[in-house]
Amino acid sequence: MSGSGWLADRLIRRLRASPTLFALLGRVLRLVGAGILFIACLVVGARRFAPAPALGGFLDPAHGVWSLARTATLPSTAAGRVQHLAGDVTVIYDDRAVPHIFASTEDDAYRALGYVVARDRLFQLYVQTMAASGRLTELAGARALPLDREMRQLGLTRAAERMAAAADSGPLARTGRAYADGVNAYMREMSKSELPLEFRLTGTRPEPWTTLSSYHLATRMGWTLAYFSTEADHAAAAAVVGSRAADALFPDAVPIQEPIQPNGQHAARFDFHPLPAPGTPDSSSTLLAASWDTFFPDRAYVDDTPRSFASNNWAVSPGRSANRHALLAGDPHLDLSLPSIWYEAHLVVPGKLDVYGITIPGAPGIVIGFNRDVAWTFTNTGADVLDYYAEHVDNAASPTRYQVDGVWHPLELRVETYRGPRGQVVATDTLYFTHRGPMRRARDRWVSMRWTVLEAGREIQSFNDAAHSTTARELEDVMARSYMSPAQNMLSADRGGHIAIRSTGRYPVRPGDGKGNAVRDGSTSASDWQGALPLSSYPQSFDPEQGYLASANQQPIDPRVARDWWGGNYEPWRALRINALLRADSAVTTEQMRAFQTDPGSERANLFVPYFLAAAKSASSGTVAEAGRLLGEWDRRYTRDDQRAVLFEEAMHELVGRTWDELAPRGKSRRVATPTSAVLLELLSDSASTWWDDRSTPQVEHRDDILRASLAAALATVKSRHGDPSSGGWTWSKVRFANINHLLHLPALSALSIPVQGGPATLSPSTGDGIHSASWRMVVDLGPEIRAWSTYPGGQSGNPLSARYKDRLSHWTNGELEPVRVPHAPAELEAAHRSAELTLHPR
Amino acid sequence: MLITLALVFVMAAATWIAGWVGVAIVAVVVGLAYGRAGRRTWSVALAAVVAWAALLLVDAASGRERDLLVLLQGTMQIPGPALLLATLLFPGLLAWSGAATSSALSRMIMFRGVP
Repeated sequence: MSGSGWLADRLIRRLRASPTLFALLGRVLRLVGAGILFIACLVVGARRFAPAPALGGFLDPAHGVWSLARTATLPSTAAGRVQHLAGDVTVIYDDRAVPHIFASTEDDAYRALGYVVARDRLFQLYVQTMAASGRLTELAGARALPLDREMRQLGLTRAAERMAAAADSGPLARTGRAYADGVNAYMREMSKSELPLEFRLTGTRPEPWTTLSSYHLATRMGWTLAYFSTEADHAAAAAVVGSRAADALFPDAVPIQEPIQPNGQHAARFDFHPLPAPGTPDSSSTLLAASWDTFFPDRAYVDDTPRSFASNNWAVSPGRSANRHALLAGDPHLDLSLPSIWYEAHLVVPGKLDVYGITIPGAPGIVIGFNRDVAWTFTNTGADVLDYYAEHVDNAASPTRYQVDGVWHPLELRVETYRGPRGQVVATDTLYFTHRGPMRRARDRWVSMRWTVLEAGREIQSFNDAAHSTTARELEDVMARSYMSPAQNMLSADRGGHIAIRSTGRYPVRPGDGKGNAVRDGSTSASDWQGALPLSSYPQSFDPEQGYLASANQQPIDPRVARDWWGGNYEPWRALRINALLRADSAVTTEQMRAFQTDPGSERANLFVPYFLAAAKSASSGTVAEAGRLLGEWDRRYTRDDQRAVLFEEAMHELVGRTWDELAPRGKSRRVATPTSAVLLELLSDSASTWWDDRSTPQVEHRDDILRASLAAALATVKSRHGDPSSGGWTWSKVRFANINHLLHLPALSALSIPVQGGPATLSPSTGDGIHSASWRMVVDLGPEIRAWSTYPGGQSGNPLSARYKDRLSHWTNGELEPVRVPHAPAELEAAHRSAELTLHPR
Repeated sequence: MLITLALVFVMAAATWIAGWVGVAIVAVVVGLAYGRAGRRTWSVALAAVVAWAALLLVDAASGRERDLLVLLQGTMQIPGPALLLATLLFPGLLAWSGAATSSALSRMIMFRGVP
């Protein structure tokens, strides 16, 4: 008899033996009901139904989300095992939760670094890698497809794979593998209750770390810092107002010169010239503009000026410091996040390595910091290292070959598959590559892109080499040997009293006029880059006579000194401010170095406000006079309690819109590009320029007419938005904030609406959306024993429940820095300054 | 009463060792035994709820449970009490349904002297 037949037989016997049919029916129903409920509980327990996580593992109090309460704080002592360790590694966490790693070999130090970074920032490692490798759809589904497409279609993921493969045999691979050993060792030992909250919420698990993951991070940093096409602004403008006007609106050189490489001047130089009037649209610029729209589909401006990077660094030589030591300060500005992009650490291998600073989770090395002899920090150079080529292909619909110098070459085809959270295919793309780089369709043409970010390779090693430098000169030369992209203005200072700066990167030498502001003919090799600028041509300075160096993303070199193409849309205001502050004081203290980082003064305001006030003086309108009076009360400082900056910013917004109305094509309201405020100031020096005429009115306006109209409109808007000037609604802290979003943009895990000091173009500028600001602040005193102070907006732990998640935020908000502890050996760190210890043993 | 108390410890231990699945396993096994003995299965559910409540208290000893509740509330947009209720309801339902299923099956399949 079969199984089911046996069961039916038993059932029938039971029916006959049962006192009532209904009782048995009840039992059957109870069984079925209980069974269904049991299965349902099992399914709900085991399976995620987005957005809800799988309930069983999530709610389990032993290992689920509730157990995070037990693991929020690192235990005071702990141990771990790491593969390939040569010996034990001691990690002492100080009272700022900075791990001080003491190892016997450098490889072991990097293994330990990987371990502690994973311990504190595991989810950040994971989500950064997913973002950088174009795999966010596996986390967030189809809505992340545009982000993933951008990473892959720009060739970043392919570049990372090639870099990782090329590095496999060198010392860089060893460091990368050591770091991976550490990360993977932590993941192996991590208990279920230590799994970060974000993994539980998203239903994901961390993946094994590989050296490729570090390269994805590197290419993504290149995308963050070197992916812009300033020539596109020029082309877009030329397509509307003609090339001659566009040349002046988007000039090769900034009209206000305060370059990184000192040029002997004792004040900023204003190279102002009348701007040519708007001319006939230039149709040949159309292809470049279309190319740009293809590669930058979501172009948007922040405020009314192009988004510009806002990092600063400066150094003073002993002759200009109060304590006769070289001093160095650095504050790189990036999009803020919780946890922070930076992680503070100290690596010691006695006799070989002793470096303190910040690393990016995923990068096997210290990026910015100091050793016992030298300190270094960077700002973004913002050079144009990206060019377009119109390619000649065999088939416009489905190309397989492209032609150069009459010879057909096969295109490299790469099929990219985007998957969803359950592994399902969300989309596929076929990507094309020429020898120059990724190729995409721009209207009816195929355009390829060459970009140094896709060709870089040894940046990670360069940081590790720099950590061994003993002088500023040596550090600069070490970086110049192997660091290519993204180009950085590398500032250094040493205990010998030397200061130095060099804009280090790889700068292509272009044929013809050397500029990168045109789409070149891809059918000829004569269009290709002809090499790179020699080191001697890099903007640089060593121990300048002026006794200080400063970079704030301004033009690197005076065009009167060298006319190499830099191509950036440089704004000079922060450079003007820091140079003015450093020039004014020949005995700078470390406290002043700190204060400068959040200085609320603005050279932009100092130069623009007088024009508004002069125009308001001759006003017949009471509104303009009132606006002028209110603006005249302003001290031009963006402090949190300031009551007038809001009026100035609105007036500037109005001025930009009214001045550059010619840059909106007829019938459209949106400008195709916006010149820098430096160019706007240049125009202000020409009161009768035709640019002042408002096309929408029958009369011809001049400068002061536009200034007055801007003031009037600004006052009306500000009153409407923020109330009466005396109501308190104009307070700057109610208008401008920092917004530090969690990696998943969960408000409960973010720090939002933080009132900050600083405004557009101050040394600590605040963007309108508040997401971009000083990601790190550091001051270093290069005395006989190095002293340093630092902070960043967040905390060392990526665990939102940890007391170290955002414990530094108040210091950062108030512009304060904490002293840094730099013990030579574990015994030097007193018990009162320790928070935890970790010992790593060989596995 | 003693049996139920013992079940609480077993449920807690099973959860600690095997996670939430431990509750299901213990419930099914106990349900089979209860079915043979003709006992009610609601005590299994009670044991599971009490076990998880006890484990929650262990977590709460860290002093961070309240902060965690606030965090989860803000992140998941679900009231904290609802989350706690779900945490206690889930093992109760899982345990009862598992025990009831195995108990009923046990009674139906076991030989009871039917000719």
